[in-house]
Amino acid sequence: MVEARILIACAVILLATALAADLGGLSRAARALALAGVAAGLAYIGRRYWLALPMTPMFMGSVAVPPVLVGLGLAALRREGVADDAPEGRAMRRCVLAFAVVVGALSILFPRDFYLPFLKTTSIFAQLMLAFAVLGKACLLIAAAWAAAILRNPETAAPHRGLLHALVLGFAFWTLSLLSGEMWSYRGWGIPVVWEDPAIIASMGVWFFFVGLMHLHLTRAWTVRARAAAMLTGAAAVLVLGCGPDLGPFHPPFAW
Amino acid sequence: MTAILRRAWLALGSIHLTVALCLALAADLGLGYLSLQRGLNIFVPMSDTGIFPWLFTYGLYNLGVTAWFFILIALLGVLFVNTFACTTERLIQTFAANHRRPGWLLKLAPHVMHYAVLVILAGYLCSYVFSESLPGRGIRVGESMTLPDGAEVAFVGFAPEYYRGDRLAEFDTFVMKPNARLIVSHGDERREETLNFNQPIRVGSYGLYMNDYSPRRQKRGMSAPNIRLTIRRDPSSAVYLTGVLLFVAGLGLYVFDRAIKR
Repeated sequence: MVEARILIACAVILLATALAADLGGLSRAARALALAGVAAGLAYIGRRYWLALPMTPMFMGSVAVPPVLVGLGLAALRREGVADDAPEGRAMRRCVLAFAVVVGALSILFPRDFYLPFLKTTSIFAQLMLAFAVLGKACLLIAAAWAAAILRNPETAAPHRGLLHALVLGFAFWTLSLLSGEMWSYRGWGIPVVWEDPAIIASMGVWFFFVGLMHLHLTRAWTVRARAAAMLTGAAAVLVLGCGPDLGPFHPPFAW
Repeated sequence: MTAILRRAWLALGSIHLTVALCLALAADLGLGYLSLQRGLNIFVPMSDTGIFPWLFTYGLYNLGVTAWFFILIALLGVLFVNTFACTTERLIQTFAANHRRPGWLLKLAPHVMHYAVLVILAGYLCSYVFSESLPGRGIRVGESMTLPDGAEVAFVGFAPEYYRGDRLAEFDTFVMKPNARLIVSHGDERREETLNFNQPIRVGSYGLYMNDYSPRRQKRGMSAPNIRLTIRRDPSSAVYLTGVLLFVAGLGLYVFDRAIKR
């Protein structure tokens, strides 16, 4: 487990350095550092799965987000054809890196991922619930990063396309995570919702928030700026209600 | 009169109402998340008692912790009506505008998802109202028990599968899968079933869910193997599982529609 903690600490340090390099205008170095951070983070996830299988590693819902978020964020920039030095690209990339560093730092300072897995998590639905939740959080934070780019420059088309794409994907993943949780609950306990689990309640809260945002975006009920601002609020919902349940009490880093 | 009803129908199906309800639900569930930190155990009996007995006992007597749940039910009730009115209205419009065009079925994807949410919500409500639960039944190897519908369940023994590999020292010699063998006699039928975590068995209209088992480790001289079960009869589980399938189908159609548009 200690090697895994070292890997995630390395990942967060690399991502923080990438953010600093990006802010200093060294965009190539930033990209290389970010990719190294993604690799270290994915190695951490792989290590945790290797240790826990056939069970699901516990409380990975926040600590696994940074590498997935940065990896998918960089892929989203390529997909939308945004140049590295374009203002909307910079805004989006810096926002993604900042979200990743915040989530990663919180996961290291308030860890909860040291718990041993429990037997009921051998269910495929438990595995899917975690995987879809991590993908969902990453996509929704990417949508929020596109919203920051829109607030900076509302005239460019790429951030609007990117936001809607990330929002739809994030919402789909989040929904699939909740439905997988429901199936797990049904197979494991015979009930559709385990009401006494705060993480499930918080996840449902995030889901309803994004149902509201999806309706705002698809019906264009608010102005572009208002919708983008609401999307940024969604990032706060993901960080507090989505990642919060996977954080524990403060623990000094590197005090293993 | 018709004009008033029409206006009321449109107001009930307003998209602005949907957005307001969703944001209110998000805030309420956020409050629920905080409340649960203080009163987790109050919600545990709900799956055994059903929703209404729970609301009038645990719920009412612990309002400081459960108020969010009352608000949740009220908001979900209004959302149910709003979703039905909104999606039905738009479904009629979409069908009228698109049914002669190729690929018009894909246009119905959002409506399929909306109706699926209604089916899931109705299924949840029915599940907590009509289900019957007999929690915490313990049974030792060689013993049997009778279900309320007369079916007999005998616990014959374990065929345990142990933790393999030395990745987690805490799990060495641990029983990962007990494979509890049960003989089920229901009417003229007699069959052998294997019960595990996440692998319930169905006996007539009842479902048997494993809560716990012992021994957990490979040791000699232990007491007789035993299992603890929850026995549930939930006639509405088919409703919410159908809703889940419907939602996934609608979501798949929606994502496919967006992909081919792009």
